[in-house]
Amino acid sequence: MLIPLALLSLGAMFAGLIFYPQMFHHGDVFWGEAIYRASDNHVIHKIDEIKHEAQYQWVFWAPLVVTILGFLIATFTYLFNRGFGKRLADNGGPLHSLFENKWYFDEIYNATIIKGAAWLGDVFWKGDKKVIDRIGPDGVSGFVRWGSRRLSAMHTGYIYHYAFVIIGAALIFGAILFWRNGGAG
Amino acid sequence: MDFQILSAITFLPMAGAILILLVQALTKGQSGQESQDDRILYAGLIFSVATFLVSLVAFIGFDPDANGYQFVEEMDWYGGIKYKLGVDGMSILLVLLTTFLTPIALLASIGSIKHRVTEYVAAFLILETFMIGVFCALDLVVFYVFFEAGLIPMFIIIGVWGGADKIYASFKFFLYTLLGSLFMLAAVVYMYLTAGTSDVVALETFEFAKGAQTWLWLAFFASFAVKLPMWPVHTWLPDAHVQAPTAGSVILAAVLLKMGGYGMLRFSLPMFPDASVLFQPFVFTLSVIAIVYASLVAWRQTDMKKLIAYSSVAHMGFVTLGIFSFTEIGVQGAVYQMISHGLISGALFLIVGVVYDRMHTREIAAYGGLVGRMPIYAAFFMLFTMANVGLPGTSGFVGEILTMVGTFHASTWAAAGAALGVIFSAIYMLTLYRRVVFGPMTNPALEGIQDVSLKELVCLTPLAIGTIILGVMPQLIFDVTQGSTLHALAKLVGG
Repeated sequence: MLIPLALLSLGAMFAGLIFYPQMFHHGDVFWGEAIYRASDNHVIHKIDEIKHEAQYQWVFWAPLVVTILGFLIATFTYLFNRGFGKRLADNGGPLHSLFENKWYFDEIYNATIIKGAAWLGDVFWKGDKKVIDRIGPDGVSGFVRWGSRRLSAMHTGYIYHYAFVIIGAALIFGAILFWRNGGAG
Repeated sequence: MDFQILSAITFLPMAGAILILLVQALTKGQSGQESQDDRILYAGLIFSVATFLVSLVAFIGFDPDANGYQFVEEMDWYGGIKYKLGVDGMSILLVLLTTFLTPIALLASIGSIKHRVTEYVAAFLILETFMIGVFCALDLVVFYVFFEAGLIPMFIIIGVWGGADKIYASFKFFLYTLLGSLFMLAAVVYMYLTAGTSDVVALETFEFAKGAQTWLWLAFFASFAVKLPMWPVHTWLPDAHVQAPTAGSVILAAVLLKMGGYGMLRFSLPMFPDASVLFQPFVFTLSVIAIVYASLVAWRQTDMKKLIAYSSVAHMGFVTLGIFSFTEIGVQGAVYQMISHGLISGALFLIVGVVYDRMHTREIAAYGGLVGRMPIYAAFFMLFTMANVGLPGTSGFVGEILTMVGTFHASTWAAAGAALGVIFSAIYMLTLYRRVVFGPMTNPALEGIQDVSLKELVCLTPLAIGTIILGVMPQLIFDVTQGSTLHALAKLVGG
């Protein structure tokens, strides 16, 4: 188990040192067609050009500084002050909670995206029944049922009811004809 | 007279249905009811397998390099209307899908259907005739007759052998699809009167005026959108699936929905090209809404069948996106997606049927931890779950990636919406799988549950093989469908 780990550690430590010149000084040859770049895109050339400019120096040094800092903190915590980490955890504190909960990313995603999507799914599902079906098939069949109940209620069997409808209809049609033919004038 | 192979494929199941009904009427009450029921189901199975074999002969004889329709047969009917059948690459595959799935559906019914078995088998065989007829018809009137007639057996299958709320579901299914089809009927009459023919080949070359195209396109779309179904006319599908018997759900999802997509490719694109271009943004919008909407609703379902039904609505969104991308790759993808979804959705409904037959519930919460008791079942379920998600190596991947590439050419936004659907499908399918198959077995009733039987294995294995073969060798389909794809796009930009 230690041999593969040692090999991987060597790679992790020295790969950058070994391959840097090939990747950047001779970037075009090294990458070949592996990375597609538009003809006006010179980002890989530029890395080699700008690394000497003062304003970008921190970009190049930052990984090394952070690595050394991490190494010092780890050495301090795990080699020379073995109880320090536990004490820090026992004391809690907001910073510890933040890191222990992985910046609360899962909780934030759960509260926003997951719960939001679930809420939306429920709304859409209810929308199927309460909006689409109510206006569509249930609404239409309900309207037909309501209309036919009303219409059948009109069939009372009394002659004078039918006579009233006939006379009323005749009056309405007569009036329409009268108006369409220019009225009294 | 030459052997009319398409008529043979189309009417062989109906002949079987008539024979079974006659024999049953003549021998009624002669032997034990139970053994009689099994015999009837096996008789139906024999007719459907024979139909599959004949369609396989047609498929082998089909020349993918030849232009136009093949095995054409026609006979004058009345006033320019002909009984005309023929197939191209797209339709021969859909015929094969139909004849391949019907025996599987009938086999799955053995042991599940206990009453009115004769009528059940007859309804399935008659439905098969109508489905094949839809894909073979080369006359608008003949197409309409088959398209509409197919409603009746499915209405009966849901209404008679369905679940507790079968009447509501069957009427909803019928009303929705009939309403859509009435618009199409008006369009068919107009086209016949204007062009003087209802021959599909002649109508493909006929130029309808732009204004008329718009109305005709909308009338056909009303019918196809309901059948597919597209949002917002999809609400019949979850109810129909939940109430239908397992075999009914299989055929409904695997074949009947494909009639909508097929109709768009056969009629809307070649006959109304200007209107198709005009309505492209409209179809894209509805498709993306369907994908996102149905996926989210699927995720929230507590009933397994309803979840898969909503998943079908989302997957059909990919089909319409591909068709209306007007690109060869998009349309090829849409046809592929139809075939692939036929296998996967059919299999998923069978998967639900396996546990429903044992537990008589489709509630997801009633299951959990099945992998311990049903390892073979869990393996099949895993395969079809992954295929439904669109995992590379399964047929689901090919259809989705091609429709998305085609859609991307036409609209980046629509493609982005479709991509969202792929993510959602992973969420709802993996959630379903985890809750049913993994986790602790909390329901004591599951303790004695048995793994898949030989019959169920025979049903699921061909679908699994098909899903994987089409996943790794998509060229098998593309070679056959390329001609019909280019034909559908011939009148459209860049076709």
